[in-house]
Amino acid sequence: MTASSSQPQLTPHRRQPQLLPGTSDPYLVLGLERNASQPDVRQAYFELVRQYPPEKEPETFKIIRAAYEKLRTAAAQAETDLFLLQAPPDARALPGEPALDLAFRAEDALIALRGWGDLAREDFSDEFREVAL
Amino acid sequence: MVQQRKRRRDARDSHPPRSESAAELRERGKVEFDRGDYAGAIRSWELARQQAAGQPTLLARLTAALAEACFRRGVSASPPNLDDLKRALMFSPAEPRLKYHLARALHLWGRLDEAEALYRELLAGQPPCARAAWPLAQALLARRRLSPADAVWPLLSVEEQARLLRVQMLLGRRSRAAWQQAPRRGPDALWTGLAGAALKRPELALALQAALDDGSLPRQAAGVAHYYLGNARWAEDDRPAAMEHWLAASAAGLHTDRLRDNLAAGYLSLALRELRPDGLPRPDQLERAAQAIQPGLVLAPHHSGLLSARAFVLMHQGYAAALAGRWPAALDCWQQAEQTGEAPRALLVNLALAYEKTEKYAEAAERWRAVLRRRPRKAGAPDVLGEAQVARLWQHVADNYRRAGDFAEAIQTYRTALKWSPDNVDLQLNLVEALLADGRPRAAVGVVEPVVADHPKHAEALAWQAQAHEALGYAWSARKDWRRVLELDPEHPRARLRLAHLYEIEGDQQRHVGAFSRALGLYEKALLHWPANGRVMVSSGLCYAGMQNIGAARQQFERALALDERNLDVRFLVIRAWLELDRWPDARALLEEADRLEPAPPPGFYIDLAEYCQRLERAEWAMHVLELARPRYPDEPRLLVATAIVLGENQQAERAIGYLRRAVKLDPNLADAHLWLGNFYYAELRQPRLAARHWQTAEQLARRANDMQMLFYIRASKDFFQRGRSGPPAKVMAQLMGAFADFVDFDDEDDEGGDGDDC
Repeated sequence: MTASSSQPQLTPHRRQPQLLPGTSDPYLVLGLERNASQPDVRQAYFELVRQYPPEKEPETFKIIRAAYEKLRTAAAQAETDLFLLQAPPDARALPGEPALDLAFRAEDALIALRGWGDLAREDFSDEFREVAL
Repeated sequence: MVQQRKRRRDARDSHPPRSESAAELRERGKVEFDRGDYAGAIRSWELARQQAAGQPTLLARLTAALAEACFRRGVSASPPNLDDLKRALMFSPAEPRLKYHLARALHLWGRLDEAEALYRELLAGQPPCARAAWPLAQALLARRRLSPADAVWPLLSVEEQARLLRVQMLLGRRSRAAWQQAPRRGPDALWTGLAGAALKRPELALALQAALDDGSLPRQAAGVAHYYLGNARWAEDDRPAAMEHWLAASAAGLHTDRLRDNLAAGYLSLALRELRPDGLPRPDQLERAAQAIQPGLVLAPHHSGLLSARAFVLMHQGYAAALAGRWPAALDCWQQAEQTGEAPRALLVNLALAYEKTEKYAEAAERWRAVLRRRPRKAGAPDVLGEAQVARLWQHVADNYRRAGDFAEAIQTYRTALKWSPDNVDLQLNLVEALLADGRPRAAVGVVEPVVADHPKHAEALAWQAQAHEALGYAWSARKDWRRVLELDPEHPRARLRLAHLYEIEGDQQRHVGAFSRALGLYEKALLHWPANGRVMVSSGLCYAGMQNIGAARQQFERALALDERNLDVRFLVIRAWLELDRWPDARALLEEADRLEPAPPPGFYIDLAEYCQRLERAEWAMHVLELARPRYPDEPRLLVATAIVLGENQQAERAIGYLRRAVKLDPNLADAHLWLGNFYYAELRQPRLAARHWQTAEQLARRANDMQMLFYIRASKDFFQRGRSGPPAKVMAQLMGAFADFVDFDDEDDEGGDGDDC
């Protein structure tokens, strides 16, 4: 049960309605942003009802109506907002491009120098001696 | 117990028994030393040394052995263990090898003053320890104190001197000179490359690559070369090549903070490239980002950028899963996101919802609590919650506690919610419900009565008051409340049901004392509120039967059966009523009608009826019932047991035992069958040992199932027979059952003792 191709012209603050059974987010169903005002809710509802009249598309109308009921009054909308699935953060929440330390450090030359000789050696078993008791 | 045993074993292993002789300890230490357990060897030899105080030769050998063990343990650790090496030198102070390794360890620990002093002692020794010259020169260089005038300088090879001078140039910010003087090939091209890195010359990579290509570059030096090659590639924006070089540096044993940080940042940068598309990241992008983040976090588990990116990925993956209805997967993602330390309010809300969807209500309650704690509180903040919303969320928290069965916490939380919305009737009624569920009806009445006083026409409030009164045993008040509920809402389902039930209970009480007319009146009232109640109709029929009006009784039974001919509960009651009235043909007709139903009644239906016939001492009826069931359920063990009991009643103990044995074979865990086998073996076949074995099995099974009733029967049966009494087992059991019922009834009466004050 999806919206037919004859979608209404969307105003800038509106999204494509998702008329799927089982969609728990009434804003998605009505094609609204989360912070939609009561007039926006009513306008979206009536537009969708005109597009999907109950006598022609009763199942789709049921989905629209159920979503509208959840946002119908300011109190109902406030209650609905409390228990809505929250959208994940957008890219702005990501950390910035990390800063790398690419500079030369003279101490690294000392570390490299240790490679010659015993300082970087790990195995000294050749220096182990037998024990006589 | 296992842990205690392990502790004892560990203690035994770590402390050799004091009774061991010096020789034993010495040998034990040698075994430990040979298998590389230097700690064990040191422990054993220390003890042996204490016992060898008077034996100078042995003491000297043990001391030398201890020096070797301490040396081996100290030098094998990474970084080397200073304490071990100091002890080794203490045991054998004249040994240059041990002094050299202590100096080396001090050098690696950054204690260059002490290292230098020891190196110099070694060089001044007779003969001089030549190997100390090179590390001494490095220690001096690190402290910017190396000079060709130093006594160590002539002890170095020309090659070593050249390397030291190149590094000295780099340390002294004379990179240009180093760049010009260093070779472009061979392992020493490394210094050219490093000078190029210091000068930011693009050719540095060529020199570093040449040093690596030579193949003779020591491992750690190769690590440094790879690190700077990685830096050069990153600067050229060839990030994959840079990461490869850094990983090679790490594999070569270079473990500097900068390498670790650059690798972590590199992984983060790769992840961020995937996570910053134009729109929302796609699942494949999220997956690739997750794959980039994971090794970064292995290197730097607390890297804040990587943790944030991981949380971001997991929040998106969880959201996608939730939208697809895959709530357990969503929960898993969000839990992991929470563990990264990132817990924005939105994540807490989603976690709470996911816990609810997966029926983990206690966890959901905790997350909603966190949502409340983290709510914006400044007036005018964009997401600030009003008092009603705060109350609603607290109510939701409490609802979750209630669903989790934590009524005490639910009650407390409902009270918190009420502080935000004191006049909220729904909340008050939630509190009443929780109090009742917590078994606190008196407190529930204390809450609900003022609500009803304030809202006398609130049907739900009245309903909860009725329920609280019922829970307190105030049947009369409860009935009054339920009636008021029905006045306000004539279709209130709970009120109708409960009122009918209360009338039925009272009707039953009247019927049992023979007040049939009064009982009939009460049953009629019950039927008024719950017209389709077959059980009440059967009870009405029994009243008519009690009044010798069999015709009217039959009418009531037929009325009950007509409600739903497949309702086996009602049919059972009607058959039982006919049996009670000694009208076997009527009972049998209904029984056979039931037997023809599809699906057929379950075995329990027949078994219960047979037991009822037994109770009426009509074994022939019981046998008929069971014979009807047997073709349908030939291998039903409980039916076999019931048949055996009836056979026993008819003096057919041998056949009964046959049935019971078959039952035990089909279900060895059937305590009932073992009990009856015990009884028959004892009472009929005089085989007490066999009987005892079956009683014991029955007892074990009953105890395992916590079946108190069965335990009572078993113990009482044993007691009865073993005291030398006798009688047919079925009769004995009937008596025992009666005794048990009396015992239970007595308990019930005791419970109801406080209820009389209402009536």
